[in-house]
Amino acid sequence: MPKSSVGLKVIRSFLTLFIGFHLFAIVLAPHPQSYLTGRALPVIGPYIKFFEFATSWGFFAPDPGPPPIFMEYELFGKTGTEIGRGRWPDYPDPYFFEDRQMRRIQYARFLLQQYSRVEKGFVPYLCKLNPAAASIRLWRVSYPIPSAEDVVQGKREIGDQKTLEREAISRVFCDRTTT
Amino acid sequence: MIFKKATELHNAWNRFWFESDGAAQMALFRKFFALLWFVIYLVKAIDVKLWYTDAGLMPLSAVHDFIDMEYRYSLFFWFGSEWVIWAFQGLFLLALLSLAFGVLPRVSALICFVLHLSFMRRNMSIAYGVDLISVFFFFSLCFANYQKSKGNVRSLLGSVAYRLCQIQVCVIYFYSGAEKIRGPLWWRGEALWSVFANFQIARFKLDWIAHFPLLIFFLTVFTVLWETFFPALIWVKPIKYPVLMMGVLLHIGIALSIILPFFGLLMIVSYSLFLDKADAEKWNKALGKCVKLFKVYPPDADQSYV
Repeated sequence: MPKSSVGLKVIRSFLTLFIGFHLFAIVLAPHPQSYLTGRALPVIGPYIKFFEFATSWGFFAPDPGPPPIFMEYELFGKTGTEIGRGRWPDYPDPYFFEDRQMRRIQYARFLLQQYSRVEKGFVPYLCKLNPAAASIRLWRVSYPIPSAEDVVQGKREIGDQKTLEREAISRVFCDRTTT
Repeated sequence: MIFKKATELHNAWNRFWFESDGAAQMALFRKFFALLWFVIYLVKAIDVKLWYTDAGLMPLSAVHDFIDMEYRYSLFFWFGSEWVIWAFQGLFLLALLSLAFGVLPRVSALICFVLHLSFMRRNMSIAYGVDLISVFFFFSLCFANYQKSKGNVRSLLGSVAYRLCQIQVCVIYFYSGAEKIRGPLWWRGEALWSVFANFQIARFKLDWIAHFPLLIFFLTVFTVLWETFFPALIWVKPIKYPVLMMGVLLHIGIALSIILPFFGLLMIVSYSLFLDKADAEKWNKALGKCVKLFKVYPPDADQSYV
């Protein structure tokens, strides 16, 4: 190893401090429930948020993810008659690049965590896309995953609609003053 | 005695963080990583209007309502018009190409890092693992060194960047494994059925797997054990390559069964950080030959590892 100059030693000392802080932050950030993370958050919070290091690395864990989930919608005209319906995301996947579908699924999952998100994000888009629509009725539709035993015994099939859950989200009027 | 131990520890710390020679591994990683992201953003370009403009699914006014955006900034909070977004998309693709080919690699990495964060924060609802993991890699690539040099600031920063990338992969796998252990379905060895049977993300209809519960059990347990112990096993030299090979198989399996090919590719690409120097150099040379074959290599590019 080449002999270190004083300057390099100083830089190494600063880098050591940075490494210590960075490691502390990236090891604690994925576990926000821990006592230590709670105490350290005022110190590491701005850093992990600014650089987007605050990620929980629970891929398909602790639960292997939500079941297939969709936003269904019915479009109504000014007289209240239905003028169209659809669902998000499309199924089966219509895209050649699967990443496009994956992001649509991710969008649906994200919005359906809080129904107010659907109204603020998805509804304005539908209203813009369908100028004749005066209001939109929204539904959350999910297909609980059958157990492996039920599939083996022939009671269920992957993707069947036997336990389909359909929940009304809301009926929202299109705000035509801003669109 | 204590002083001697402390000195040994201090020296070991310095050797690990500041004297590692990871230039070849980082160069290899940089090439694959940047090319992968070039493809990802090329695909994302198809939906730029849908995801990132006010005419799409995430009006700017809604961004701050959906997620706590304190300390989170994006260029698109200030420059939100459609043509600007397209201009940044083009700049991002150019920066990714120059990063891949080693043209001003640190400047390119910085541009990529800022733009990646900006795009992600403009619409966090569509971000998933591949985006979040890459934040760390873009960050580290801003400091990476690709020269065969020692004892200067550049080599110090390069060594730190290389180690941070390696440690980050370990942190990701450890938490991924530990989180799985917390889940009852993973603990019982049934979790992968829920993944295979999720028709929205499964690539094929996999009903037949239900007839092989032992297979589901072993695949589930293997995934949990491998991910949890990866951070320890990867540093044991004699078993490093078998561990990486199992990881490659795991991610190919994931990519074949569910529609997450980029995620699997990203993780496999990150394994280049753990290759031996000689192997990384061989890969770099082979890639260099391929590039020269097509005569697309820029003449003033970083020539240390091509």
